[in-house]
Amino acid sequence: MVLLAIASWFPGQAHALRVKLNKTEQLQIDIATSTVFEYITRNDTKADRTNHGPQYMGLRNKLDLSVGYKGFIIGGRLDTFNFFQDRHPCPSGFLECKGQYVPEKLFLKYRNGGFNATLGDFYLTISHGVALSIRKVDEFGLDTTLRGGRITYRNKGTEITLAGGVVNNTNFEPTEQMFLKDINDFVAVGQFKQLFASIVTAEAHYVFAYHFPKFFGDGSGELTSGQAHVLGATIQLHRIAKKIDIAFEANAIYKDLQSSTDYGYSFYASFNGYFFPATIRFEATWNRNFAFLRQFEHQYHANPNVPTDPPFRVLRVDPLLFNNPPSLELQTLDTHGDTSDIRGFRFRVDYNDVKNKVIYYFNYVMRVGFSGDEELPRAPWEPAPKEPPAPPPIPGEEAKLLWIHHVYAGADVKVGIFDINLLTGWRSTIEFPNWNIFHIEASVAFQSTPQQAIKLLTRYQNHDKGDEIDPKKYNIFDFQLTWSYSKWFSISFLFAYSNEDKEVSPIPGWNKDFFLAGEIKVNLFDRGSITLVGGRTRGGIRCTGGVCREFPAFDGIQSELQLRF
Amino acid sequence: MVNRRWYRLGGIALLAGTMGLMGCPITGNQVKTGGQTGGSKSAMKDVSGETAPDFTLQDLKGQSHSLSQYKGKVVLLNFWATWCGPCKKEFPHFQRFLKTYEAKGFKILAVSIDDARQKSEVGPTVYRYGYSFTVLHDAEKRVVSLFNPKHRAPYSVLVGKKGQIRWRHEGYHPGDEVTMEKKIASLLQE
Repeated sequence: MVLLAIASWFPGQAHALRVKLNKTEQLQIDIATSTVFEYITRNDTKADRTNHGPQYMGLRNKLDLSVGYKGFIIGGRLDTFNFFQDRHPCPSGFLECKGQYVPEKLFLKYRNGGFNATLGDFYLTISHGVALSIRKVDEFGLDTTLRGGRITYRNKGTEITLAGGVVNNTNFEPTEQMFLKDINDFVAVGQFKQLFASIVTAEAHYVFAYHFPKFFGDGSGELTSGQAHVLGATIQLHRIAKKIDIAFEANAIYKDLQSSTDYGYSFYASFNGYFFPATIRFEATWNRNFAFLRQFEHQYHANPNVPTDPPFRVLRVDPLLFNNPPSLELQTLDTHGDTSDIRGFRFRVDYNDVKNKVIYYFNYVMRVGFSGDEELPRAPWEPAPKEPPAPPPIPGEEAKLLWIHHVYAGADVKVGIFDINLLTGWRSTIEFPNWNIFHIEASVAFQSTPQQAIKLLTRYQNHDKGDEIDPKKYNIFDFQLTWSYSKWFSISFLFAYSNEDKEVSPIPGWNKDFFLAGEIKVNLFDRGSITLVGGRTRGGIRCTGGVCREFPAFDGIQSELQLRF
Repeated sequence: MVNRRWYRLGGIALLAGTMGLMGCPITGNQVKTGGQTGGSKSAMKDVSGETAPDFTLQDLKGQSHSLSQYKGKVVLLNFWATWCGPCKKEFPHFQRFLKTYEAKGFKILAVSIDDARQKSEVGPTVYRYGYSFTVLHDAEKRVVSLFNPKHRAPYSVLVGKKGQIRWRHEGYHPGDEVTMEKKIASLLQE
């Protein structure tokens, strides 16, 4: 209530707090907070939130603070998370379970003309993300930075970047609500970019990574130290004849992981043609053993009632990608995220029927690659890895060549006060196992009065997955209706149906097929918002930007208060 | 118990800190309202504001744009993404704003916060409509972190002629463009 009162003291304006130092100088202070309180009434879903009780409460907060003075900005974020009613309270001395205060994203930035310097945490991406992409995956709250130093100098068409630091991943994984260890591998980058005659940008880069040795929490395994080197270049042609953009990127990687060495390469090309009312896109990629990643650990704490158990166990070891190459796929259906050994292309055409206010589009993707750790056959001129050849695969368990064909089409229509979006498509994956998806979605939004708007969103997917031995067919249906009144508040009703995991439902009498929830969001004078969600929402796999997470179904209530001063 | 105490102390410290700062000569809240507080009218008359941090980003043609080079103009800084449906609903209004107010000193910088892997998707998403506003790409989330630490999309910031942030708005619902246009028109009159 006090925070609400404070928010109400700042109506309608977008001003940071400012402290006058003298007549001309002042400190500019920016504060943003996000506080989430949730009560999970059922925690029996297949995602591994095993460190929490069947019913538990969570309180999480992120406090962003920055202070600006002339060309300097200093800031950071404090993450706190606390869980109540855990099934297994944390043993004393282990802080991972409760009451964590984790400083994140600490930075000092300085800018003077074309010179920029950052000390602390920063994101770093090179060109199309093939060579390096240390970034935040916003949709999942996974936030990775380099913690070190970076300088960038720009002058006319020239740009030079030098950076180095240790990989600092976020320590709290909000999807499964688990604690993650920092990776701390060292990464250094040099990049040079030059624009010629306003139409050609040439760029060269070098990335070095040193992997420090890692030991799993329970001593069950060990990752050796090693090095990786990536060397690459990009050429971009801008608006040839005012209509065409072309980009080409090539990278080579060399990895020395003590016990083995290996090579890989990546080629990527894109073509955009702006022939209004038609727009044409073509992308192609050819990757061979181009994997640039490191493992990190999901942890949970073991049962303290069994003294022989170690206090923590590694629940799962996941890769953290140091790069994020184009996958050619629709973001939300990018379920085959591994791009290290793929070849393929994508073609898309959009046509704008200006007279009828309709945009039609058609897209086709073809990708080929290997499942598992296998790689595509090497050409005679390609060097073989140093390690001895792998033993022959066990019959029936060898990696399989998978082919993906994805065709989709849609239309964006404007009819009077109605905005309509339609998308439908079919994706076939052969041999991974076979997986066919038919998907269709439609959204309609309209403004009923100057203050009121209604939006309706529906999605349907039909999945046919697996081979003859383990077939699985299921449907997913989502429905969302939102009514908003001016900028003050919105009310949403969410309904979903999914029979994907019907067979694993452990609760007698609980029908897992249907999901009902409601959401109310109140905006606080552009200073922030309060969001309340109650009910049950569907879990399952969600993908974006090449990252897929298995979301647990949510059953309970959640509130989020966002404020900005 | 310890944790609870820390939470309590943390909360009190945050509130006290905030209150303490509010006791200082904070000009950000000194709105010259002409008799009114809050709402769009007060915004029209407000001449103070938070200084917008300067930045440089490249557009899709390889040209660099700095916020500071548009000092003297009213700039609509819009953060959007190709995967964001509501973002695209705003675009027709942006084009209309540009057509109406460009000659009066209005500029739009539409900053895509898509990942680098989506780079080839950014241009066609906008230019298939034939829109002509400037599109920048912030693949490293360097600029969006300065203005919008939570990386919400869409997120709009209006920067006044003196380089000060005059209005922020998160999300888009039909009808928001009416408020936005009023703000733009009032800032252009200053």
